[in-house]
Amino acid sequence: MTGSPYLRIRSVQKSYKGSVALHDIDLDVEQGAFVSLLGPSGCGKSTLLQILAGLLEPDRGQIQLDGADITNLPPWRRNIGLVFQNYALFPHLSIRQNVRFGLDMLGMGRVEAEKRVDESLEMVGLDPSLSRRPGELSGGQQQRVAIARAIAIRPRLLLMDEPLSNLDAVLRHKVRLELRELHDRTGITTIMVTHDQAEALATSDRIAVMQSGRILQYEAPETLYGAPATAFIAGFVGSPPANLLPLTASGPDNWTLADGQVWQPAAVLAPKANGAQSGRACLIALRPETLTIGTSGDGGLPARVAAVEFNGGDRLVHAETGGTRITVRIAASQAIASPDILLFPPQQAPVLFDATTGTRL
Amino acid sequence: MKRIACYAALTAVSLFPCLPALAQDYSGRTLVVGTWGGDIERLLREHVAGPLEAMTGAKVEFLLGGSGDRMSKMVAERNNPTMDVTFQNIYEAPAALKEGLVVAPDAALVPTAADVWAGMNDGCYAMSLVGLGIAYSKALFPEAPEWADLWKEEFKGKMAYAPYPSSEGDGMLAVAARIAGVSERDPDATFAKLAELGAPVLSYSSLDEVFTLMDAGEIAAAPMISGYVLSNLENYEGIGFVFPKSPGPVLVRDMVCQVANSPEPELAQMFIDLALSVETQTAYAKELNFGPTNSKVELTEAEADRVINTPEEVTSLLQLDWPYVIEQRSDWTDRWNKQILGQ
Amino acid sequence: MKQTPDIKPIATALLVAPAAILMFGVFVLPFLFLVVLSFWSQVPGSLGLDPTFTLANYARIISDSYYLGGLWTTLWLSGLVTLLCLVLALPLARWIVLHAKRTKGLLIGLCILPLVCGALLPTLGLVNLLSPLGFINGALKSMGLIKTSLPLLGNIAGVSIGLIQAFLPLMILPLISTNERIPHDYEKAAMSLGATRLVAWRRVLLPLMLPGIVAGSLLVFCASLTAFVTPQILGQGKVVTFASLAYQQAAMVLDWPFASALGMVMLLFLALAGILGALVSRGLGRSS
Repeated sequence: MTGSPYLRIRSVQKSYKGSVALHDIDLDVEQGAFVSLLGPSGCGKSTLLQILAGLLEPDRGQIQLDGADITNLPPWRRNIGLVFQNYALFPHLSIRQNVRFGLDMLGMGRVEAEKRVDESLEMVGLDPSLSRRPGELSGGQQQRVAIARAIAIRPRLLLMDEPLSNLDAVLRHKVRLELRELHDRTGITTIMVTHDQAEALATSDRIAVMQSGRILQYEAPETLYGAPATAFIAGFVGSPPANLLPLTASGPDNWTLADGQVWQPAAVLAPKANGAQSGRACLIALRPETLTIGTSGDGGLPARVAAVEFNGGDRLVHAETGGTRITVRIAASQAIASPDILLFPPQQAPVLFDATTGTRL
Repeated sequence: MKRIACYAALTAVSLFPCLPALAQDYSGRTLVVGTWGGDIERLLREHVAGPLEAMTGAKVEFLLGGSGDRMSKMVAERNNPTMDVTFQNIYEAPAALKEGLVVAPDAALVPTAADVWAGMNDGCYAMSLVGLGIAYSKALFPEAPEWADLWKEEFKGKMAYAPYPSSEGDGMLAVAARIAGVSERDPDATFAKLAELGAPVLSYSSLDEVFTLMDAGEIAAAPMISGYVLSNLENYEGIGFVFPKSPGPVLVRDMVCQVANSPEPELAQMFIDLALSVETQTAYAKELNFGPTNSKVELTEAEADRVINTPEEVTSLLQLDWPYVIEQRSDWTDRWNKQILGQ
Repeated sequence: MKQTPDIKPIATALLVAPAAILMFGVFVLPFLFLVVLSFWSQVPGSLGLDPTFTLANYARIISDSYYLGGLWTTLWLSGLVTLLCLVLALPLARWIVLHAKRTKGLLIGLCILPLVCGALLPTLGLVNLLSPLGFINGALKSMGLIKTSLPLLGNIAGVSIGLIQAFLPLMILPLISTNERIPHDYEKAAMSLGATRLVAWRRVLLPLMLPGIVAGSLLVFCASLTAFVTPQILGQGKVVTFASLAYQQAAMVLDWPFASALGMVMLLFLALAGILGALVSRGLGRSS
């Protein structure tokens, strides 16, 4: 996908009653991509979505879709599909009438519209002969109808606001894969807003992690996971996310932990190798699945096991060190003999953040 | 036994000082009087209710409202009246007597009634004399008009009337009849003549409504009771009032009635006695410009000018056959609605 | 599991009895008397009643174009007021529900104020406002928009303004209640699907608001039909409503049988409106 991006968001700002919801947002989305806006509540992701839909006006900035400036277009002229968290199906219309709504707005003829309704319902895995009202369907079915309604108009852009939040855990898992499959089949450029990082990682081509009205990092899931730009991202992405251990450089070879313990790790992990001046307070990101547990050896972090979770295929060991709780993932077969253990980070360049700014070292 | 006798003696002794008062003591009793609110209520409280309460120890309770409501009340409460005294319009009193709702005037029971001009106490006791004259806008009538002047082409559709039925309405009909050369017993001609004045600008529900517009010249004239207009003339420079001469003003009387079979007949009679007294009647004349019915009232020349207070003046007034008017009430109301208002 | 004990029927009867007896004695019985009264007549020239059964009162109403005209005026005035209240209340109710989260209580209180103030005081205030020499005409004249006063009293315009002011709360409250169950997302969804605001209202919001619309319309229509003080004062005797006619006959002409008949005719139309409302509601219930 070369050339200018399909969706360009430039310098979009929005404030409410004095507090800033979005600070200067820039974002490019390629045609046919599946992008997630990921972040905790209040980060501005839903605001950005509403602005894209035309339901909110940005204070400043520009939005271009397929080469045209749509910043000032009203929502009914943008040809953008919208799926709401609680589906917003029209209760006084039947399922088919709901899905047909957008087609009626386009003035489509009856025969063609009915055919399109059939297609859309099939695409979301529903029986087109369903002749009920939305109130009579389950949550999962309602959500499918909401999606069918949005894609029936063949929108240029599909926006989904926390589409899976109202589903139970099992359905959520199943449906998010179906969302991705649907996207692959239709090829519609999709932007999904979610606070669930697992969802975003599983479905998206790129993820924009947002916090306090800013985009912190906009990368493919693997990059986000492997090379997080800030401590916040490291501690947010992943199931479970990375452990953040506070330490201060004390000399070229050693780190001091929060409880005063001194740790002399392998050379590649030492302050000297990573440009940390003596006295620099840092955070090291330790991924649960890359840590190993041992009882002896050099460069290990002494820790005390607090709890062990059995997960079926593996175990999560929660151990305390340096005043912080660290989670390690080990094989279910590995036994932990005594509560006093040593944690070994992988022998490679670590992911270090400045403790005050959270930025990568 | 001894104790009971003791208590009985004590009670008798404590009541002893009250003995002289018992003859005129109505403490704990309430007299219910129905009348119009505003200045009339105020005067009655001051000159009649106040002294009565002081004299008898009874309480006087006023029921305020329109006289039509009081007629309805009397009819509804026929077998068990709660009102003792009621003020009614001149056309209601004879009907009330005929229906047996009120007690016929009796100078033996109400002494001051004897001082009232002869022939006025028909139906009930005559309370005040007022005349229906013309309230007019000085802007449109540089000189005070006669009844006939109202029929000039330029004033068509600029009259104002009180809601009908009312004494103003009946009076105006009588005038229209006379101007047409007939009497009110010829309703077709009467109403046709009155209809020539055009539909009214409004049927007013409050005096301020009509006075404000008359002051500004939007209303040319209205048949009104002298008392109300005269009291308000100071506030409105653009309004004048006149008792026309041909025909003369229409006589209207306020009547005060003793309700038949009421709970407090003696108190009622005392109230009416005070109402007809020289003192009250003088106050009415001075403050409300309502003509006194008590022949013994003396007024200054200026005051006498504004009210009707002599029998000669009374005979010059246009008097209606009120019982006849009452009989026609339903028919005339229909005609008024359709022929006068509905134009 | 222990079942909650049923309330004995006798206990229910005893609890309901005082109110029922009161209603019966104070309302039902007098009302029945009124119905009977409408078939009596007044002895001419007197205040007595002739209890011979007669349809003369009703015949008089039906055969006299004046009374039919009054009925027509009353009906179409009520319809007009209902329609205007609807037009005013619909956007207001939706706005309050969607946008006035914190001030909602205050705004609803303001809307209800006319109901609390009664009929007379606001109407008298309106007389001042609407009079040819009143505030509105004065303001328009001083702005040079009109030369002679607009007649805003003594006609349908003035009476409508008074009735709308009095009964708008009866339309706003049911609409607010209905709108609380219609989330903002519905409009947003409709707009994203290509509906302009107006189309979204027509195709999505109005159908969903119908229960509130029916309830409010019924209330306003019935209140306007029987309104007395406001048309009397603002109509200045020139707007003939059935309520004014009934009052005139009852309290001034004292022809109670005829007044009862007028009242019964009004009641008939109230009943018709109620039945219509119930049918529409049932139809709505069936189709959803």
